[in-house]
Amino acid sequence: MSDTGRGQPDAVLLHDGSFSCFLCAVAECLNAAMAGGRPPAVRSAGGPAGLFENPVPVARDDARAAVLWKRLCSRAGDASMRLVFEAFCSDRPGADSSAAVAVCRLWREGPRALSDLAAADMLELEKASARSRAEAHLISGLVRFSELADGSWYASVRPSCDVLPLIGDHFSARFPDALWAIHDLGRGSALVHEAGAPWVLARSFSFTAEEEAQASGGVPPYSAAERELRHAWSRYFDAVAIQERSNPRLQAGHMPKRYWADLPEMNDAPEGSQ
Amino acid sequence: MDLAGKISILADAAKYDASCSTSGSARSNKGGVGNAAVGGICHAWSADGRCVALLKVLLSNACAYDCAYCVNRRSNDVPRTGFEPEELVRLVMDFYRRNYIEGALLSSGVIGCPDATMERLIAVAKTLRVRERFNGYLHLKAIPGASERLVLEAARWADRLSVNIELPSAASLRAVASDKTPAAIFGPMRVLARAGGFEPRRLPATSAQPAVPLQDSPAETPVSFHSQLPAVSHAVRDIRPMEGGADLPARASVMDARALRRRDPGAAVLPAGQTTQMVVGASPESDLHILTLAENLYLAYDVRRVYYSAFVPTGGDSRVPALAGPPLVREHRLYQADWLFRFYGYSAAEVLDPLHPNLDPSIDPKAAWALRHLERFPVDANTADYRELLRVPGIGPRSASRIVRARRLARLSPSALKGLGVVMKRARWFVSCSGTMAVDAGRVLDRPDALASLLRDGADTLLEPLQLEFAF
Repeated sequence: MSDTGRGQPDAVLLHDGSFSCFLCAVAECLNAAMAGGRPPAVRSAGGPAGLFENPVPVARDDARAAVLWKRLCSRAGDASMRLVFEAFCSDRPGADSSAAVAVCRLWREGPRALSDLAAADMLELEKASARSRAEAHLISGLVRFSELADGSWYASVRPSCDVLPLIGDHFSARFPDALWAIHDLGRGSALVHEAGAPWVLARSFSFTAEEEAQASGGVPPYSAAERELRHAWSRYFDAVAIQERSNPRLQAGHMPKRYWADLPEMNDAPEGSQ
Repeated sequence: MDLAGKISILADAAKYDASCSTSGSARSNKGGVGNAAVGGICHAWSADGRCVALLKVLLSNACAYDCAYCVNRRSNDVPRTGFEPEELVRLVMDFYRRNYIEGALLSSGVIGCPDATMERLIAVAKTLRVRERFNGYLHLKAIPGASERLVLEAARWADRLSVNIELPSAASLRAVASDKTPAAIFGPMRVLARAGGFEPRRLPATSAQPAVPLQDSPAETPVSFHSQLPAVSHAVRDIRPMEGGADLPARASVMDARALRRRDPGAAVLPAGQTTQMVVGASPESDLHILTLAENLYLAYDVRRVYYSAFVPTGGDSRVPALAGPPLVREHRLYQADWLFRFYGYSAAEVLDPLHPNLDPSIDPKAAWALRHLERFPVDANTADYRELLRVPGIGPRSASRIVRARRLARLSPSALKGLGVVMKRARWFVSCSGTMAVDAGRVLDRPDALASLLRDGADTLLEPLQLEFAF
C-alpha cells in the first residue's frame, strides 16, 4: 500500500458484485481523476480486505450506471466496453480492479489504451476478457437441454466465469420459439427465454423438480422421449470414439472434468447395465 | 434393430472421417430452428480426444465398393444397416434441440451407384432445410463419381461439402481403392470450387516436388495423380531437384493466398466451402508428397481444410500394410505442418525437401525449420515484422499480434514477452529485445544438436504406445 502523504490509508471503493455497482464505483474513480487526484482502487465487497486500506462501500444505482455505460460506449467504443464487461464477468481475482483502471485509461486515451499490454492492468483486462470469451464459447457447446413434460427446456451448467450474459444472444437466435432456461448452479442465476421475447437474467432461480422427484421415488418431469434420446446420444458418443486412439488425457484437456456432471454422455451407464 | 443399435453401427462406420469443424458459415435463423456460428462450436470430446460437433453417421454402411483401407468395404464381414430418411431427420432435430450437436455430417456407403447415393443424401438435407426449417450446420459428402448436377444440388442445401482423396497418389488409389479414380474425385472437387465462387487455377511449379522415387515404392514408377489435377499439372512435368542454394518457389504461401480471397460466410450456397481428407500410413507416400498435395489443394481448389487420418487397420486386407496401430505421431506432425501453411506463412518447400522427405517425429516442423535456419535468429521483438515473429519457436499468431500491438506504446523486455503469452522456454533462444536476450544464446546457436534436444516437445513419446513401425 502506498502512502498518500497525509498519513491516511488509501480509500478502496467496494462494489456489491454486480456490474451496475461496479460502474458506480468506476464513476467515483473518474470523478477523482478529473479532479486531478489519483483514482482509488476498486474491489468486490466479498473479496479479501487489504491490511492498510480504508474501505468505502459504493451504493448501487442502476440509472447512474446506465448513463455512465452509454457515455463510456460513445467515448471508448462498444468493442472496448464489451472487453471491460467480459473481463468483469471472468470473476478472476483482481480482474475488476484492473477493469476499473482500464476504464479510466479508456476514458482518457480512447481505445488505443487497450494496446498497452506492457501495463499490468491492461494485460489483465486482455487476459480476463479472453478467459470469459473462451469459457462462454466452450459452454455454448456444452449446454445440454432436457425436454420437460410441459414442452419447455432446461439445462444446468457450472462455469467458473459468469458466462450467462455472454451466451444469451447465441441461444436466443438459435432457439427463438421455445421456452428454455440455462441454470448456473454455482451462482444460482439463470438465463430464461420465452418464445419471441428477449432473454432475461434471473439472479436467483431454482429448479428443484428433479430433486423432489428423486426424493419421492418418482420420475423427473421429463418428456416421454427424453430418456430414450439421452440414451441414443450416449450410444452415439461412445461409438464415435476410435478405440485404437484412446487418449483420455486429451479428452480431459479439451473438456475438463468439472463440466462432466452436467453432460449426459459422461454419466449414462454403459450398454446393458441399466 | 432399435434406434440406439443403428446409431452405434452407423456412427462406428463413419468415425474414420476426421472432419469435425463447423466453422465458416454464418447461416442465420430464418424463422425456424438453429443457425451456424462462424467460428464453429465443439459440443463434446470423445474418449480419443477428438471433438464431437456434428452427428456424423452414414445413411447406410452397405457399400458396393471394396476400398482396402475402409471398414465398410463390401468384402469386410460387419453388420450392415441403414437409416430410414425420416428416422435420420428426426434424430438430427432431436439432438440439435438438446444442443448435443451443431448439425450433421451425412455420408453413406455407395448404394447402387454414386448418383443414387447422392440423391438419398440430398433428400435428407432438403427435408431438414425445407420442411423442418433447420438452419444448423450441414456437411454432406460428395460421393466420388457423382454427376455435376447432383453435386451442385447438394451444395444448395449444405454449408460444406467434401470429397475425400484418401489415397494421395494414383498408384495407391489403383492398388487400394480400385473402384475410385482420380477423375471421379477431382471432378466433384472442381465443381465444388466453382460452386463456392472460386475458379480452380493452375499453379507455378514448386521445388518441393519429389525428385527422388517415392520412398518405399518398389519398382513401380510413381504415377502421381497431380497430372489429373489441372491446377497443378505443371508441378508434375517440371520436377526440379532442390540443389544447394536453390531459391524458394516464387508462388504465394497458403496464408497469403487465403488472405486475398473473398469469403462470404453468409453466402446462400456452400458458405463453408469444401474440405478433404487423406489417410496416412495405408500407402507408401512420403510426408513431402502428402504436404505438397495438400498445399496444392489449398492453392488450386481453395479447399478450406485438409484432414489427415492416421490409418487404423480394420482387419486383414492384404492390399494395405499390417500396422499394429495407427501412426499417430506422423499424423500429429502433418497437422502441425498444415497449420504452418495456413497460419504461419510457410510453404511445403520450406518444411521439407526431396532430400528430407519426411517430418522428424521428435521435433515439431517449425522448430526443425528454425534449426536449419539459425542464421535468421535472433529476431528482435521490438522491430521484427509480424511474419518474422511468427517464425520464432514459442511465438504463435496470438502472441505475435500482441507483441506488434504492445510495442507501439512501450519498448518490450524479455519479461514483458512472457506476459504477452510467448513460451519463453522455447523462444528464449531465438528472440531478443533491442539486443537483450533472456539467455546467452550464443553458446547454443552454433550447436544445432544441443538446441534440438532443448526443443523436443515429447509428442513422440506421449503417442509412442500407439506408434509402430511400418511394414511394407
